[in-house]
Amino acid sequence: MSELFHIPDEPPVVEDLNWLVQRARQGDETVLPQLRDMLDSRPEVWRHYGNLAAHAKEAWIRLISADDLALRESTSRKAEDLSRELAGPHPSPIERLLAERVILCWLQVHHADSLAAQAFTKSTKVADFWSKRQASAHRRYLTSLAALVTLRRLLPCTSGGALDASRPDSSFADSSFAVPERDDVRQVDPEHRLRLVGKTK
Amino acid sequence: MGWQGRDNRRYFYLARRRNGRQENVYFGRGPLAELAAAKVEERKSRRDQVRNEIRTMRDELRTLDSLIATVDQVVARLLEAKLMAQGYYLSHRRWRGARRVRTLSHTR
Repeated sequence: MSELFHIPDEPPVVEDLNWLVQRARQGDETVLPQLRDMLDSRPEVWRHYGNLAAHAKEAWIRLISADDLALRESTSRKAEDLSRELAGPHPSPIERLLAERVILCWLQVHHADSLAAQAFTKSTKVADFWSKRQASAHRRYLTSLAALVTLRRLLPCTSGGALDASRPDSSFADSSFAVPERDDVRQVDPEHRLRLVGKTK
Repeated sequence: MGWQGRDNRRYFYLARRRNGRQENVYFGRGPLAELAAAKVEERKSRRDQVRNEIRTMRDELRTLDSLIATVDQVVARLLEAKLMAQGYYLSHRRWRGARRVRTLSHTR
């Protein structure tokens, strides 16, 4: 399995990208056109990270399924389905990457979930180990979903239209990952909100 | 403490903690001492086994975790680059600048 763990080298353009992001973080607006141009016209960036994510996904599926080829095939198909559903019909490269990241985290959560359940029959220390792993994988999974939602909210023009809780066929429709609409956020009782931050008795 | 040698003889002491204080329980050198020593040894080996099991699991998962961490890190960086390129900026871990983005998209 070691050949699966080879992480491809970063293309040289990534260094320029990092530098530009660093400058933009410091508030330098002059780098924005360059940054935009780099993201739009250098497909090798997306290709490289797309390959990296696919590579990681394959490795995780192999770990989960071990020698069970039927499980490997079904996990792989389920991951593909979810990825398609999350990315939507016409995903932009960044959306596709974010969806791939969600799938990776989903695989990690499922691996941790199943082993945490088995660990209850073992010693407390082993159960603790898996329970901690489960919690951290779950946190990572939620962060990855939040990143996709952030992109959809801030750049709706790139949206493929997935992750829509109102769609009845969506796997996320009945889950806790459904994202509230902006109007729902405004409907929260202001007094309750103040209570939460400790402004009222 | 375990076995202690005194006058060419071995005596077994069990070190334990009671109410936050360390105490040594004397078991002597008879069959009871042998039994207590065997119990302690068994517990120790079980603890080592669990520790090794956790270490092996952690080692097996380290490479895969690092793959996820790498993807995580670069995708977050790309998202940041994408949003910054559009005119958004991070302030107190929140993306701001929607108004500026609208202005930029009109002027572009």
